Amino acid sequence: MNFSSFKYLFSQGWNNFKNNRIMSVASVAVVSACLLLVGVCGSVVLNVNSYVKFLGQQNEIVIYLKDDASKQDIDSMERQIKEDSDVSSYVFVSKEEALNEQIGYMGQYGQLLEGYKGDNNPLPASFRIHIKDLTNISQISNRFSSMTGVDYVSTPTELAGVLIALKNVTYYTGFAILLILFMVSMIVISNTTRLTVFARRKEINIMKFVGATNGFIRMPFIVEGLIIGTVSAIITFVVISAGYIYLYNYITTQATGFISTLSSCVLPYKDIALIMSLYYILFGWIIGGVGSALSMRKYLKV
Amino acid sequence: MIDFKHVTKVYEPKITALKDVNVHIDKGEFVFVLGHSGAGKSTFLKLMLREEKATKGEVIVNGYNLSKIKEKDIPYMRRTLGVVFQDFRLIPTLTAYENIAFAMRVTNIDEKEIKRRVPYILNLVGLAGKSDKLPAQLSGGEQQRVALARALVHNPDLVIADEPTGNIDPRLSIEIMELLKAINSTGTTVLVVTHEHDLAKKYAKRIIEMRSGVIVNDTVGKVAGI
Repeated sequence: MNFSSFKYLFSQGWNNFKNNRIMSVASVAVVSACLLLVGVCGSVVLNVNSYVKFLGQQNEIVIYLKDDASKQDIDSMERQIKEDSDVSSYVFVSKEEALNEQIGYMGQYGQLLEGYKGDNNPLPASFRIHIKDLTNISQISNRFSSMTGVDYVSTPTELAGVLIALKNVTYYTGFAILLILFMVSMIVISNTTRLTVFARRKEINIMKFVGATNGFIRMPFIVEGLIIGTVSAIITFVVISAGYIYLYNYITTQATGFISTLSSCVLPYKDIALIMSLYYILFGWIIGGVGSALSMRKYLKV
Repeated sequence: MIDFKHVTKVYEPKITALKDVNVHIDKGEFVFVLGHSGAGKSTFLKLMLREEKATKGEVIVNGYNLSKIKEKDIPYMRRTLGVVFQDFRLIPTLTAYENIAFAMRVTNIDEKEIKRRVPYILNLVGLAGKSDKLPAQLSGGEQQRVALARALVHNPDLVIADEPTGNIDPRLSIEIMELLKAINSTGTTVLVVTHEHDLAKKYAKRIIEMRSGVIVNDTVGKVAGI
């Protein structure tokens, strides 16, 4: 396609958008409404994910070692843990460190445990491990259990299960809502284009007979759809940005009670602005472009 | 150039519009396709433009086998022919110049080439002074000439005129026919589809006469008069 054709197609699309002012405004309103909900859903999903990740990081797998585990066994365990791709961080706690930790916890009563120092120390040495993805927690735990010198492995599977369920529910609910909104928007755009196409069916018929390709005939209508998508994405970006920043500031500075506990894991807007705006524009374009293209099919069969 | 080989067209449920039609038209010929309404002329035309597909047989136009042509190649086939319709099919909001330029733009032709070719074509059909007029500001004959100019922009090997004199008065009909003759004299095949016996008889050209979907006469200058 040469430059003059591109210019021609783009100007035709823009003219369609301008000339069908009422329908264009209606389409932009509906698509913006859908994108706004996409934005809200997206923000919730991203924040829940971040919250789950945050909670996940607070949970650790603890590998307790047998008292008779040799230095070699411990070194070999450390090597395996270090090389495990599921492990994000780990720390080795010796028997002495474990006891000192307990003494520390007990504060002024700590001295009661003084007698357990040295050979009397009943606490086992351990590796405390943070993993990257809670979903695999049971498998990872089983893997560690089979290492030589391991007494037992303590795994917070129940909590992990709750977190994973929470993550899945938000993810799938969000996805279902997005899918429905997506379809609604597509139908709206498709109807708008159908009206334009119907109004210009004579022109389309002439285009067919002078040898215009289907792609060329479709293009101005797709451009119109893309313009609707872009305008809607910009409106959504502005509204969601303002709303999110307001809420973020409220939660982090003024909120009290439970809401204030969220302040440490609410994502700052700058962290999600780019991904969210990419979503709006991508969704806007897909809804606009595909919606328009779909409604053209009937009129291209000449 | 044009070949119809045992072509039958049946519209569902059971309307046979063409029955075992065999026609060969050579490059450079001037041919009338004559017949009353319902004779099968429109179907004949639709098959040539690949607006419809033959139920049986083969239609070959300008080297394209229209029974086997791929959907994506149809536009390129159509660029090798120019069509003039009875109702002109001009876009009312575009000037004469723009209507012709439109046909070039939608086939990806560069703006420079459009600026060079449109005035030339308008001059050829005698409308040089009316390029900025809207169709409504032109007479029927002038509109028909714009439609003819549009059909010529791609320098087609074949020009098909569907009832070109149907919507204009007799004096202007002669002008249009003379133009078509002039186009034919440059080597372009011209096919005029009409129901006007007098028009066909007047020009001593090949006449393919149709009735109820079959060819009843294919001679030069004579009408069977059925």
